[in-house]
Amino acid sequence: MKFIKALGMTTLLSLSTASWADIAVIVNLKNNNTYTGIDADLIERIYLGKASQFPDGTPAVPYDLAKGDSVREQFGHKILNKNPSQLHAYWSRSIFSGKKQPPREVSSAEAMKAAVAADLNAIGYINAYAVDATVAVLYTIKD
Amino acid sequence: MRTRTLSTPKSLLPCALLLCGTGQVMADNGLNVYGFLNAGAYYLDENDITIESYESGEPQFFNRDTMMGLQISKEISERTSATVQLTAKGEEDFAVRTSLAFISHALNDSTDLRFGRLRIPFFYYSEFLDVGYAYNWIRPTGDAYGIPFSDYNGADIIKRFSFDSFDGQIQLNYGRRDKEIVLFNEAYESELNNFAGATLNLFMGDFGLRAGMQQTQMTLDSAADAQTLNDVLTGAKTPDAALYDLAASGARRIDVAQTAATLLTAGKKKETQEAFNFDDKKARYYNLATTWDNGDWSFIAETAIIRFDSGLYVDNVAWLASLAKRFDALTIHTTYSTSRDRLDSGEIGQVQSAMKLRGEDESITLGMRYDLDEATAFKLEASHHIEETNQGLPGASGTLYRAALQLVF
Repeated sequence: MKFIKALGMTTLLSLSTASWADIAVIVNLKNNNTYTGIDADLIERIYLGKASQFPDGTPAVPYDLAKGDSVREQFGHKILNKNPSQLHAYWSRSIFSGKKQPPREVSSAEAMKAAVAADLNAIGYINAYAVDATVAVLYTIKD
Repeated sequence: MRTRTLSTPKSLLPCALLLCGTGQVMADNGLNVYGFLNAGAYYLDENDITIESYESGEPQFFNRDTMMGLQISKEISERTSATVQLTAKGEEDFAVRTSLAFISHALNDSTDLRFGRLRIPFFYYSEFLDVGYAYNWIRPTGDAYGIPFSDYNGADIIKRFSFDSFDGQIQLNYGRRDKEIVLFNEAYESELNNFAGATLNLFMGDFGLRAGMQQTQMTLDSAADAQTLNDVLTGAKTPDAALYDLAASGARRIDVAQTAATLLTAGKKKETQEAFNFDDKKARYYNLATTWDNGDWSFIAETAIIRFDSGLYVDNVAWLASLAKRFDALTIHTTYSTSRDRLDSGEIGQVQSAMKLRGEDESITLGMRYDLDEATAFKLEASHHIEETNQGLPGASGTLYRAALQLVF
Protein backbone atom coordinates (compact mmCIF):
# COMPACT_ATOMS: atom_id res chain seq x y z
CA MET A 1 0.00 0.00 0.00
CA LYS A 2 2.83 2.28 0.99
CA PHE A 3 4.58 1.43 -2.27
CA ILE A 4 1.50 2.17 -4.36
CA LYS A 5 1.09 5.50 -2.61
CA ALA A 6 4.69 6.43 -3.20
CA LEU A 7 4.45 5.36 -6.81
CA GLY A 8 1.35 7.46 -7.26
CA MET A 9 3.01 10.56 -5.86
CA THR A 10 6.11 10.09 -7.96
CA THR A 11 4.06 9.66 -11.09
CA LEU A 12 2.03 12.75 -10.33
CA LEU A 13 5.15 14.83 -9.73
CA SER A 14 6.81 13.49 -12.84
CA LEU A 15 3.83 14.10 -15.08
CA SER A 16 3.75 17.68 -14.01
CA THR A 17 7.33 18.36 -15.10
CA ALA A 18 8.42 15.79 -17.63
CA SER A 19 7.18 13.42 -20.28
CA TRP A 20 7.62 9.67 -19.93
CA ALA A 21 10.67 9.53 -22.17
CA ASP A 22 12.56 12.50 -20.74
CA ILE A 23 15.86 11.77 -19.00
CA ALA A 24 16.81 13.58 -15.82
CA VAL A 25 20.45 14.23 -15.09
CA ILE A 26 20.68 14.04 -11.32
CA VAL A 27 23.12 15.04 -8.61
CA ASN A 28 23.36 14.90 -4.83
CA LEU A 29 20.95 17.16 -2.94
CA LYS A 30 23.93 19.07 -1.52
CA ASN A 31 25.43 19.79 -4.94
CA ASN A 32 25.56 23.59 -5.31
CA ASN A 33 25.45 23.45 -9.10
CA THR A 34 21.69 23.01 -9.02
CA TYR A 35 21.53 26.82 -8.56
CA THR A 36 23.51 27.58 -11.69
CA GLY A 37 22.69 24.53 -13.80
CA ILE A 38 24.85 22.82 -16.36
CA ASP A 39 24.79 22.58 -20.14
CA ALA A 40 24.63 19.43 -22.27
CA ASP A 41 28.15 20.03 -23.57
CA LEU A 42 29.68 19.79 -20.09
CA ILE A 43 27.62 16.69 -19.29
CA GLU A 44 29.02 15.09 -22.45
CA ARG A 45 32.60 16.06 -21.54
CA ILE A 46 32.21 14.65 -18.02
CA TYR A 47 30.78 11.38 -19.32
CA LEU A 48 33.54 11.00 -21.92
CA GLY A 49 36.21 11.55 -19.28
CA LYS A 50 37.40 14.81 -20.83
CA ALA A 51 36.23 17.13 -18.05
CA SER A 52 36.17 16.16 -14.39
CA GLN A 53 34.58 19.13 -12.65
CA PHE A 54 31.18 20.76 -12.24
CA PRO A 55 30.88 24.45 -13.20
CA ASP A 56 31.69 25.47 -9.60
CA GLY A 57 34.97 23.59 -9.73
CA THR A 58 33.98 20.68 -7.52
CA PRO A 59 34.88 17.17 -8.75
CA ALA A 60 32.29 15.39 -10.90
CA VAL A 61 32.09 11.60 -10.72
CA PRO A 62 29.81 10.15 -13.43
CA TYR A 63 27.73 7.01 -12.99
CA ASP A 64 26.29 5.02 -15.89
CA LEU A 65 23.32 2.72 -16.13
CA ALA A 66 24.14 -0.85 -17.16
CA LYS A 67 24.84 -1.83 -20.77
CA GLY A 68 21.64 -2.68 -22.62
CA ASP A 69 19.51 -0.29 -20.57
CA SER A 70 17.31 1.72 -22.97
CA VAL A 71 17.77 4.93 -20.94
CA ARG A 72 21.54 4.52 -21.25
CA GLU A 73 21.20 4.15 -25.02
CA GLN A 74 19.04 7.27 -25.25
CA PHE A 75 21.51 9.17 -23.09
CA GLY A 76 24.36 7.99 -25.31
CA HIS A 77 22.51 9.02 -28.44
CA LYS A 78 21.28 12.43 -27.25
CA ILE A 79 24.13 13.64 -25.05
CA LEU A 80 27.21 11.69 -26.09
CA ASN A 81 26.31 11.50 -29.79
CA LYS A 82 27.40 7.87 -29.89
CA ASN A 83 25.68 4.53 -30.30
CA PRO A 84 26.64 1.71 -27.89
CA SER A 85 29.33 0.35 -30.24
CA GLN A 86 30.90 3.75 -30.73
CA LEU A 87 30.90 4.35 -26.99
CA HIS A 88 32.45 0.95 -26.35
CA ALA A 89 35.15 1.65 -28.95
CA TYR A 90 35.77 5.08 -27.42
CA TRP A 91 36.34 3.67 -23.94
CA SER A 92 38.36 0.73 -25.27
CA ARG A 93 41.01 3.23 -26.33
CA SER A 94 41.34 4.55 -22.83
CA ILE A 95 40.99 1.23 -20.99
CA PHE A 96 43.62 -0.62 -22.99
CA SER A 97 45.99 2.36 -22.85
CA GLY A 98 45.82 1.89 -19.10
CA LYS A 99 44.31 5.32 -18.63
CA LYS A 100 40.97 6.56 -17.41
CA GLN A 101 38.29 3.94 -16.78
CA PRO A 102 34.69 4.40 -17.98
CA PRO A 103 32.06 5.60 -15.50
CA ARG A 104 31.10 3.13 -12.80
CA GLU A 105 27.94 1.23 -13.71
CA VAL A 106 24.85 0.78 -11.59
CA SER A 107 22.16 -1.75 -12.32
CA SER A 108 18.95 0.31 -12.17
CA ALA A 109 17.39 3.72 -11.61
CA GLU A 110 16.98 2.85 -7.92
CA ALA A 111 20.66 1.95 -7.65
CA MET A 112 21.54 5.16 -9.50
CA LYS A 113 19.57 7.29 -7.04
CA ALA A 114 21.16 5.47 -4.12
CA ALA A 115 24.66 6.00 -5.55
CA VAL A 116 24.02 9.70 -6.24
CA ALA A 117 22.44 10.24 -2.82
CA ALA A 118 25.51 8.70 -1.19
CA ASP A 119 28.18 10.59 -3.17
CA LEU A 120 28.49 14.39 -2.98
CA ASN A 121 30.42 14.46 -6.27
CA ALA A 122 28.17 12.11 -8.20
CA ILE A 123 26.34 12.84 -11.43
CA GLY A 124 23.91 10.30 -12.88
CA TYR A 125 20.90 10.04 -15.12
CA ILE A 126 17.60 8.20 -14.93
CA ASN A 127 14.24 8.26 -16.62
CA ALA A 128 12.58 11.47 -15.47
CA TYR A 129 9.57 9.67 -13.99
CA ALA A 130 11.89 7.82 -11.58
CA VAL A 131 13.07 11.06 -9.94
CA ASP A 132 12.22 11.37 -6.26
CA ALA A 133 13.17 13.56 -3.31
CA THR A 134 16.47 11.77 -2.64
CA VAL A 135 18.22 13.43 -5.57
CA ALA A 136 18.27 16.81 -7.34
CA VAL A 137 17.67 17.30 -11.06
CA LEU A 138 20.47 19.26 -12.70
CA TYR A 139 19.37 19.02 -16.31
CA THR A 140 16.49 17.48 -18.24
CA ILE A 141 17.00 15.87 -21.63
CA LYS A 142 13.72 16.28 -23.46
CA ASP A 143 12.37 13.45 -25.53
CA MET B 1 55.90 -20.13 -40.13
CA ARG B 2 52.61 -20.71 -41.91
CA THR B 3 51.91 -24.20 -40.63
CA ARG B 4 52.24 -23.30 -36.97
CA THR B 5 49.70 -20.55 -37.25
CA LEU B 6 47.08 -22.78 -38.79
CA SER B 7 46.73 -25.12 -35.84
CA THR B 8 47.30 -22.92 -32.80
CA PRO B 9 44.32 -20.57 -33.09
CA LYS B 10 41.90 -23.48 -33.12
CA SER B 11 42.76 -24.19 -29.53
CA LEU B 12 42.90 -20.57 -28.48
CA LEU B 13 39.78 -19.21 -30.09
CA PRO B 14 37.27 -21.23 -28.05
CA CYS B 15 39.04 -20.01 -24.90
CA ALA B 16 38.71 -16.47 -26.11
CA LEU B 17 35.05 -16.88 -26.91
CA LEU B 18 34.48 -18.47 -23.54
CA LEU B 19 36.08 -15.46 -21.89
CA CYS B 20 34.01 -13.20 -24.08
CA GLY B 21 30.85 -14.94 -23.02
CA THR B 22 31.50 -14.12 -19.42
CA GLY B 23 31.55 -10.41 -20.20
CA GLN B 24 33.39 -7.81 -18.21
CA VAL B 25 33.99 -8.83 -14.65
CA MET B 26 33.61 -5.86 -12.37
CA ALA B 27 33.53 -6.92 -8.80
CA ASP B 28 32.86 -4.74 -5.81
CA ASN B 29 36.41 -5.30 -4.66
CA GLY B 30 37.71 -3.05 -7.44
CA LEU B 31 38.89 -5.83 -9.73
CA ASN B 32 38.36 -5.18 -13.45
CA VAL B 33 39.02 -7.75 -16.15
CA TYR B 34 39.00 -6.66 -19.78
CA GLY B 35 40.20 -8.29 -22.95
CA PHE B 36 40.34 -8.02 -26.70
CA LEU B 37 40.60 -10.44 -29.60
CA ASN B 38 41.50 -9.93 -33.25
CA ALA B 39 41.17 -12.82 -35.71
CA GLY B 40 42.32 -11.96 -39.21
CA ALA B 41 42.87 -13.34 -42.69
CA TYR B 42 44.57 -11.76 -45.69
CA TYR B 43 45.60 -12.21 -49.28
CA LEU B 44 48.33 -10.19 -51.00
CA ASP B 45 48.16 -10.36 -54.79
CA GLU B 46 51.68 -9.29 -55.75
CA ASN B 47 54.98 -11.09 -55.16
CA ASP B 48 57.27 -8.14 -55.71
CA ILE B 49 56.10 -5.88 -52.94
CA THR B 50 56.50 -5.96 -49.21
CA ILE B 51 53.83 -4.55 -46.93
CA GLU B 52 55.09 -4.98 -43.39
CA SER B 53 55.16 -8.79 -42.90
CA TYR B 54 52.30 -9.69 -45.23
CA GLU B 55 53.34 -12.43 -47.63
CA SER B 56 51.99 -13.00 -51.11
CA GLY B 57 50.81 -16.39 -52.32
CA GLU B 58 48.03 -18.39 -50.71
CA PRO B 59 45.47 -16.64 -48.46
CA GLN B 60 46.69 -16.63 -44.87
CA PHE B 61 44.52 -17.22 -41.83
CA PHE B 62 45.15 -16.35 -38.19
CA ASN B 63 48.75 -15.20 -38.22
CA ARG B 64 48.98 -11.51 -39.11
CA ASP B 65 46.22 -9.39 -37.52
CA THR B 66 45.47 -12.16 -35.04
CA MET B 67 46.03 -11.64 -31.36
CA MET B 68 44.52 -11.79 -27.91
CA GLY B 69 44.91 -9.48 -24.97
CA LEU B 70 43.83 -9.85 -21.38
CA GLN B 71 43.97 -6.94 -18.94
CA ILE B 72 43.44 -7.05 -15.22
CA SER B 73 43.40 -4.02 -12.97
CA LYS B 74 42.89 -3.92 -9.24
CA GLU B 75 42.20 -0.94 -7.05
CA ILE B 76 44.66 -1.09 -4.20
CA SER B 77 43.31 1.99 -2.48
CA GLU B 78 41.02 4.87 -3.40
CA ARG B 79 43.83 6.55 -5.34
CA THR B 80 46.09 3.65 -6.33
CA SER B 81 45.61 0.76 -8.72
CA ALA B 82 47.69 -1.93 -10.40
CA THR B 83 47.23 -3.04 -14.04
CA VAL B 84 48.66 -5.93 -16.05
CA GLN B 85 48.01 -6.55 -19.75
CA LEU B 86 49.13 -9.78 -21.41
CA THR B 87 49.09 -10.19 -25.18
CA ALA B 88 49.71 -13.10 -27.56
CA LYS B 89 50.16 -12.55 -31.30
CA GLY B 90 49.63 -15.06 -34.09
CA GLU B 91 52.75 -13.91 -35.90
CA GLU B 92 54.78 -14.67 -32.73
CA ASP B 93 53.27 -18.15 -32.34
CA PHE B 94 51.07 -16.78 -29.55
CA ALA B 95 53.98 -16.31 -27.18
CA VAL B 96 52.59 -14.39 -24.21
CA ARG B 97 54.11 -10.97 -23.63
CA THR B 98 53.55 -8.44 -20.89
CA SER B 99 52.46 -5.30 -22.72
CA LEU B 100 51.50 -3.29 -19.65
CA ALA B 101 52.41 -3.77 -15.98
CA PHE B 102 52.14 -0.64 -13.92
CA ILE B 103 51.00 1.01 -10.73
CA SER B 104 48.85 4.09 -11.16
CA HIS B 105 48.49 6.67 -8.42
CA ALA B 106 46.14 9.65 -8.60
CA LEU B 107 48.05 12.60 -7.15
CA ASN B 108 44.76 14.52 -7.25
CA ASP B 109 41.53 14.46 -9.22
CA SER B 110 43.23 15.59 -12.43
CA THR B 111 46.75 14.16 -12.19
CA ASP B 112 47.83 10.52 -12.49
CA LEU B 113 51.31 9.13 -11.99
CA ARG B 114 52.03 5.73 -13.52
CA PHE B 115 55.19 3.65 -13.25
CA GLY B 116 56.16 0.24 -14.53
CA ARG B 117 55.85 -1.11 -18.08
CA LEU B 118 53.95 1.28 -20.31
CA ARG B 119 53.32 1.74 -24.01
CA ILE B 120 55.24 4.45 -25.82
CA PRO B 121 52.82 7.18 -26.90
CA PHE B 122 54.49 7.70 -30.29
CA PHE B 123 51.46 8.59 -32.38
CA TYR B 124 47.67 8.91 -32.12
CA TYR B 125 46.86 5.16 -32.11
CA SER B 126 50.10 3.89 -30.53
CA GLU B 127 48.85 3.26 -27.01
CA PHE B 128 45.92 1.08 -28.19
CA LEU B 129 47.40 -0.10 -31.47
CA ASP B 130 46.60 -3.77 -30.81
CA VAL B 131 42.93 -3.18 -30.02
CA GLY B 132 41.32 -3.42 -33.43
CA TYR B 133 37.82 -2.89 -32.08
CA ALA B 134 38.82 0.62 -30.98
CA TYR B 135 39.13 1.98 -34.53
CA ASN B 136 37.71 1.46 -38.02
CA TRP B 137 40.68 -0.17 -39.78
CA ILE B 138 41.78 -3.74 -39.22
CA ARG B 139 45.09 -2.14 -38.28
CA PRO B 140 46.45 1.40 -38.72
CA THR B 141 48.65 1.76 -41.78
CA GLY B 142 52.23 0.53 -41.52
CA ASP B 143 53.27 3.67 -43.39
CA ALA B 144 53.03 5.49 -40.08
CA TYR B 145 52.76 2.69 -37.52
CA GLY B 146 55.52 0.32 -38.60
CA ILE B 147 57.67 0.95 -35.52
CA PRO B 148 59.12 -2.40 -34.37
CA PHE B 149 58.77 -1.81 -30.62
CA SER B 150 55.99 -0.44 -28.49
CA ASP B 151 56.77 -0.60 -24.75
CA TYR B 152 59.24 0.81 -22.26
CA ASN B 153 59.89 0.61 -18.54
CA GLY B 154 59.58 3.91 -16.78
CA ALA B 155 57.05 6.41 -15.58
CA ASP B 156 54.66 8.99 -16.90
CA ILE B 157 52.54 11.72 -15.47
CA ILE B 158 49.20 12.63 -17.00
CA LYS B 159 47.57 15.96 -16.18
CA ARG B 160 44.03 16.68 -17.36
CA PHE B 161 42.77 20.23 -17.54
CA SER B 162 39.77 22.18 -18.74
CA PHE B 163 39.59 25.76 -19.87
CA ASP B 164 36.24 27.20 -20.84
CA SER B 165 34.95 24.78 -23.49
CA PHE B 166 38.41 23.24 -24.08
CA ASP B 167 39.59 20.07 -22.41
CA GLY B 168 43.13 18.88 -22.56
CA GLN B 169 45.64 16.37 -21.36
CA ILE B 170 49.42 16.61 -21.02
CA GLN B 171 51.44 13.43 -20.73
CA LEU B 172 55.16 13.43 -19.88
CA ASN B 173 57.03 10.14 -19.99
CA TYR B 174 60.54 8.94 -19.21
CA GLY B 175 62.17 5.53 -19.10
CA ARG B 176 64.22 2.98 -20.98
CA ARG B 177 63.86 -0.21 -22.95
CA ASP B 178 66.43 -2.97 -22.72
CA LYS B 179 65.00 -5.74 -24.87
CA GLU B 180 65.37 -7.43 -28.20
CA ILE B 181 64.07 -5.60 -31.29
CA VAL B 182 62.98 -7.49 -34.39
CA LEU B 183 63.86 -5.68 -37.63
CA PHE B 184 63.27 -7.26 -41.04
CA ASN B 185 62.35 -10.49 -39.19
CA GLU B 186 65.77 -10.56 -37.51
CA ALA B 187 66.44 -10.08 -33.82
CA TYR B 188 68.85 -7.49 -32.41
CA GLU B 189 69.81 -6.93 -28.81
CA SER B 190 69.08 -3.31 -28.09
CA GLU B 191 69.16 -0.60 -25.47
CA LEU B 192 66.93 2.42 -25.77
CA ASN B 193 68.10 4.76 -23.05
CA ASN B 194 66.65 8.08 -21.92
CA PHE B 195 63.34 7.43 -23.60
CA ALA B 196 61.63 10.75 -23.00
CA GLY B 197 58.62 12.43 -24.46
CA ALA B 198 55.78 14.88 -24.15
CA THR B 199 52.27 14.64 -25.58
CA LEU B 200 49.52 17.23 -25.65
CA ASN B 201 45.91 16.39 -26.44
CA LEU B 202 43.27 19.09 -26.86
CA PHE B 203 39.53 18.58 -27.34
CA MET B 204 36.80 21.04 -28.22
CA GLY B 205 33.40 19.81 -29.29
CA ASP B 206 33.86 17.39 -32.17
CA PHE B 207 37.46 18.43 -32.74
CA GLY B 208 40.64 16.95 -31.31
CA LEU B 209 44.30 17.88 -31.70
CA ARG B 210 47.34 15.86 -30.69
CA ALA B 211 50.97 16.95 -30.74
CA GLY B 212 53.75 14.77 -29.43
CA MET B 213 57.45 14.15 -29.45
CA GLN B 214 59.56 11.22 -28.22
CA GLN B 215 63.29 10.72 -28.27
CA THR B 216 65.77 8.07 -27.22
CA GLN B 217 69.43 7.09 -27.35
CA MET B 218 69.43 3.90 -29.42
CA THR B 219 72.04 1.15 -29.27
CA LEU B 220 71.79 -2.05 -31.34
CA ASP B 221 74.22 -4.96 -31.32
CA SER B 222 74.82 -4.64 -35.07
CA ALA B 223 78.44 -4.72 -36.30
CA ALA B 224 80.45 -4.69 -39.49
CA ASP B 225 81.72 -8.15 -40.39
CA ALA B 226 85.51 -8.29 -39.83
CA GLN B 227 86.12 -11.17 -42.27
CA THR B 228 84.34 -9.36 -45.09
CA LEU B 229 86.30 -6.17 -44.46
CA ASN B 230 89.51 -8.16 -44.41
CA ASP B 231 88.65 -9.93 -47.69
CA VAL B 232 88.17 -6.57 -49.38
CA LEU B 233 91.21 -4.91 -47.82
CA THR B 234 93.49 -7.77 -48.83
CA GLY B 235 92.03 -7.83 -52.32
CA ALA B 236 90.75 -11.37 -51.91
CA LYS B 237 87.28 -10.26 -53.01
CA THR B 238 85.76 -7.24 -54.65
CA PRO B 239 83.46 -5.22 -52.34
CA ASP B 240 80.36 -6.32 -54.26
CA ALA B 241 81.32 -9.99 -54.15
CA ALA B 242 82.28 -9.83 -50.47
CA LEU B 243 78.97 -8.19 -49.53
CA TYR B 244 77.01 -10.63 -51.67
CA ASP B 245 78.73 -13.53 -49.93
CA LEU B 246 78.04 -11.98 -46.53
CA ALA B 247 74.34 -11.57 -47.28
CA ALA B 248 74.17 -15.10 -48.72
CA SER B 249 75.73 -16.47 -45.53
CA GLY B 250 72.59 -15.40 -43.63
CA ALA B 251 74.07 -12.33 -41.98
CA ARG B 252 71.50 -9.95 -40.55
CA ARG B 253 70.43 -7.12 -42.83
CA ILE B 254 71.73 -4.31 -40.61
CA ASP B 255 75.06 -6.09 -40.11
CA VAL B 256 75.38 -6.29 -43.90
CA ALA B 257 74.43 -2.61 -44.19
CA GLN B 258 76.97 -1.64 -41.53
CA THR B 259 79.68 -3.63 -43.34
CA ALA B 260 78.77 -1.92 -46.62
CA ALA B 261 78.82 1.46 -44.89
CA THR B 262 82.25 0.77 -43.41
CA LEU B 263 83.59 0.01 -46.89
CA LEU B 264 81.86 3.02 -48.47
CA THR B 265 83.02 5.48 -45.80
CA ALA B 266 86.66 4.37 -45.85
CA GLY B 267 88.74 7.48 -46.39
CA LYS B 268 85.84 9.82 -45.63
CA LYS B 269 85.51 12.19 -42.68
CA LYS B 270 85.51 10.60 -39.22
CA GLU B 271 82.08 12.13 -38.62
CA THR B 272 80.71 10.32 -41.68
CA GLN B 273 82.29 7.03 -40.65
CA GLU B 274 80.87 7.27 -37.14
CA ALA B 275 77.38 8.03 -38.41
CA PHE B 276 76.93 4.49 -39.72
CA ASN B 277 76.47 2.51 -36.56
CA PHE B 278 73.88 2.17 -33.81
CA ASP B 279 76.08 3.05 -30.84
CA ASP B 280 74.08 5.41 -28.65
CA LYS B 281 72.52 7.20 -31.61
CA LYS B 282 69.60 9.52 -31.05
CA ALA B 283 66.18 8.82 -32.60
CA ARG B 284 63.32 11.32 -32.50
CA TYR B 285 59.64 10.79 -33.23
CA TYR B 286 57.31 13.70 -33.94
CA ASN B 287 53.53 13.56 -34.26
CA LEU B 288 50.75 15.96 -35.17
CA ALA B 289 47.19 14.72 -35.54
CA THR B 290 43.84 16.37 -35.91
CA THR B 291 40.52 14.57 -35.54
CA TRP B 292 36.89 15.41 -36.08
CA ASP B 293 33.96 13.17 -35.17
CA ASN B 294 30.30 14.15 -35.08
CA GLY B 295 29.03 10.60 -34.54
CA ASP B 296 28.10 10.01 -38.20
CA TRP B 297 31.14 11.38 -40.00
CA SER B 298 34.66 11.16 -38.68
CA PHE B 299 38.02 12.30 -40.01
CA ILE B 300 41.64 12.07 -38.97
CA ALA B 301 44.77 13.54 -40.51
CA GLU B 302 48.05 12.62 -38.94
CA THR B 303 51.73 13.07 -39.65
CA ALA B 304 54.48 10.93 -38.16
CA ILE B 305 58.08 12.02 -38.62
CA ILE B 306 61.11 9.98 -37.52
CA ARG B 307 64.66 11.32 -37.51
CA PHE B 308 67.64 9.06 -36.87
CA ASP B 309 71.14 10.28 -36.07
CA SER B 310 72.43 6.94 -37.33
CA GLY B 311 72.93 6.89 -41.09
CA LEU B 312 71.96 3.21 -41.15
CA TYR B 313 68.32 4.12 -40.66
CA VAL B 314 66.89 6.72 -42.98
CA ASP B 315 64.75 9.59 -41.73
CA ASN B 316 61.11 9.15 -42.62
CA VAL B 317 58.08 11.37 -43.12
CA ALA B 318 54.69 9.65 -43.15
CA TRP B 319 51.17 10.97 -43.08
CA LEU B 320 47.66 9.71 -43.44
CA ALA B 321 44.19 11.13 -43.97
CA SER B 322 41.08 9.06 -43.37
CA LEU B 323 37.36 9.75 -43.72
CA ALA B 324 34.59 7.53 -42.37
CA LYS B 325 30.80 7.62 -42.61
CA ARG B 326 28.57 5.61 -40.33
CA PHE B 327 25.24 4.14 -41.49
CA ASP B 328 23.83 2.70 -38.27
CA ALA B 329 25.86 -0.50 -37.64
CA LEU B 330 27.84 -0.12 -40.86
CA THR B 331 30.81 2.22 -41.25
CA ILE B 332 32.51 2.83 -44.59
CA HIS B 333 35.96 4.40 -44.58
CA THR B 334 38.68 5.42 -46.97
CA THR B 335 42.29 6.33 -46.25
CA TYR B 336 45.28 7.72 -48.08
CA SER B 337 48.68 7.20 -46.51
CA THR B 338 52.25 7.71 -47.61
CA SER B 339 55.72 7.04 -46.26
CA ARG B 340 58.76 8.81 -47.67
CA ASP B 341 62.34 8.24 -46.61
CA ARG B 342 64.56 11.29 -46.53
CA LEU B 343 68.28 10.87 -47.11
CA ASP B 344 70.65 13.03 -45.08
CA SER B 345 72.48 15.86 -46.79
CA GLY B 346 76.19 15.90 -47.61
CA GLU B 347 78.54 12.96 -47.42
CA ILE B 348 76.25 10.86 -45.20
CA GLY B 349 73.42 11.22 -47.70
CA GLN B 350 75.73 10.22 -50.55
CA VAL B 351 76.64 7.02 -48.70
CA GLN B 352 72.96 6.33 -47.95
CA SER B 353 72.16 6.81 -51.62
CA ALA B 354 74.96 4.42 -52.65
CA MET B 355 73.60 1.89 -50.15
CA LYS B 356 70.14 2.14 -51.75
CA LEU B 357 68.40 2.72 -48.45
CA ARG B 358 65.61 4.90 -49.76
CA GLY B 359 61.99 3.79 -49.89
CA GLU B 360 58.87 5.72 -50.88
CA ASP B 361 55.38 4.39 -51.05
CA GLU B 362 51.74 5.31 -50.83
CA SER B 363 48.54 3.37 -50.08
CA ILE B 364 44.87 3.86 -50.70
CA THR B 365 42.54 1.87 -48.47
CA LEU B 366 38.82 1.25 -48.75
CA GLY B 367 37.18 -0.61 -45.91
CA MET B 368 34.03 -1.36 -43.98
CA ARG B 369 33.29 -2.07 -40.37
CA TYR B 370 30.08 -3.79 -39.36
CA ASP B 371 29.20 -3.83 -35.67
CA LEU B 372 27.69 -7.25 -35.04
CA ASP B 373 26.90 -6.22 -31.49
CA GLU B 374 28.05 -3.73 -28.88
CA ALA B 375 31.46 -5.38 -28.55
CA THR B 376 32.10 -7.24 -31.82
CA ALA B 377 33.01 -5.85 -35.23
CA PHE B 378 33.49 -7.57 -38.56
CA LYS B 379 35.77 -5.74 -40.96
CA LEU B 380 36.74 -5.98 -44.63
CA GLU B 381 39.50 -3.94 -46.21
CA ALA B 382 41.36 -3.57 -49.49
CA SER B 383 44.61 -1.58 -49.59
CA HIS B 384 46.25 -0.74 -52.88
CA HIS B 385 49.92 -0.22 -52.17
CA ILE B 386 52.21 1.58 -54.59
CA GLU B 387 55.94 1.26 -54.02
CA GLU B 388 57.39 4.22 -55.88
CA THR B 389 60.88 3.46 -54.64
CA ASN B 390 62.08 0.34 -52.87
CA GLN B 391 65.71 0.14 -51.72
CA GLY B 392 66.58 3.02 -54.00
CA LEU B 393 65.01 1.45 -57.09
CA PRO B 394 61.56 1.69 -58.74
CA GLY B 395 59.13 -0.64 -56.97
CA ALA B 396 55.92 -2.48 -57.83
CA SER B 397 52.31 -2.17 -56.73
CA GLY B 398 49.78 -4.62 -55.39
CA THR B 399 46.63 -4.98 -53.35
CA LEU B 400 46.26 -6.43 -49.88
CA TYR B 401 42.81 -7.85 -49.05
CA ARG B 402 41.98 -8.39 -45.41
CA ALA B 403 39.10 -9.61 -43.27
CA ALA B 404 38.93 -9.65 -39.48
CA LEU B 405 36.66 -10.23 -36.55
CA GLN B 406 37.60 -7.95 -33.67
CA LEU B 407 36.03 -7.78 -30.25
CA VAL B 408 36.51 -6.48 -26.74
CA PHE B 409 35.18 -7.86 -23.51
